[in-house]
Amino acid sequence: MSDEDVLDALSDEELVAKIVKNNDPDLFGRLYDRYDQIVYNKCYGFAKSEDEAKDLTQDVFLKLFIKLRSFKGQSKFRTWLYSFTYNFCVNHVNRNKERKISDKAKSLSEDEDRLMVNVPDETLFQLRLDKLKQALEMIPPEDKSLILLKYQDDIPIKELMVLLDIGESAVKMRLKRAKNRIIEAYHKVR
Amino acid sequence: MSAKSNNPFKELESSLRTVPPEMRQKVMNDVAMAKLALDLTLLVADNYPSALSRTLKRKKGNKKD
Repeated sequence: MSDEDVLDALSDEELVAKIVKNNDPDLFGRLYDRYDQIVYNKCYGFAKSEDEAKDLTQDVFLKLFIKLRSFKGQSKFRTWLYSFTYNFCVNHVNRNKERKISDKAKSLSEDEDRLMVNVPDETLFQLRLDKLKQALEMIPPEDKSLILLKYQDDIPIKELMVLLDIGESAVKMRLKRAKNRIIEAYHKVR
Repeated sequence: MSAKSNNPFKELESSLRTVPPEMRQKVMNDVAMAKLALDLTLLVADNYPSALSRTLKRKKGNKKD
């Protein structure tokens, strides 16, 4: 078995441990090769242009290299990386003041929170793709990232609790709110 | 199960965009610079306390003289 094969056979978690040991850039390149397309496409989902997606991706990988040792193996690396990428994108979007002002979707007040309904998953799965894309652009990025973690990346509630460092009921409440917002935005799309 | 197979959130990812080929080199350049900075930080963080304690020990030794 060649060195290449040995490295290819490593799990993500084993590869990360090796990278962190010596801050090894070459090994980090291997991690990049495993996840570049996923990270790029996730960034694209939060960007307004190809150039913005490129910049975001570059910055995510740089920050990932610096912060890699903060991965403690409490969840799968893949899960952690998705959350890491979404967090970075959410912060990026929130830094953009113009978007914050034009973000009309943050319309659910505290009072409206009490009026939230339970949106069954089946309802979400019946949404039309073209309208869903637009609706995702209209909700706060925090809600968008949570919905994508749950319904696109299949991250279970228990892992969301670890990633977000909150309890089960808080995760469920955030999900409930995010689902209400996506449905509200969906119905506004024409 | 059938609902899951029609999950539109999954369909959002069905046509993945290709990563621009120049991206890898840009990332690796950034990472090389970051490694340099991290190594320098570690060097200072590792050596500074031991240098300080050596200096203090030396000062204590001088006082006894």
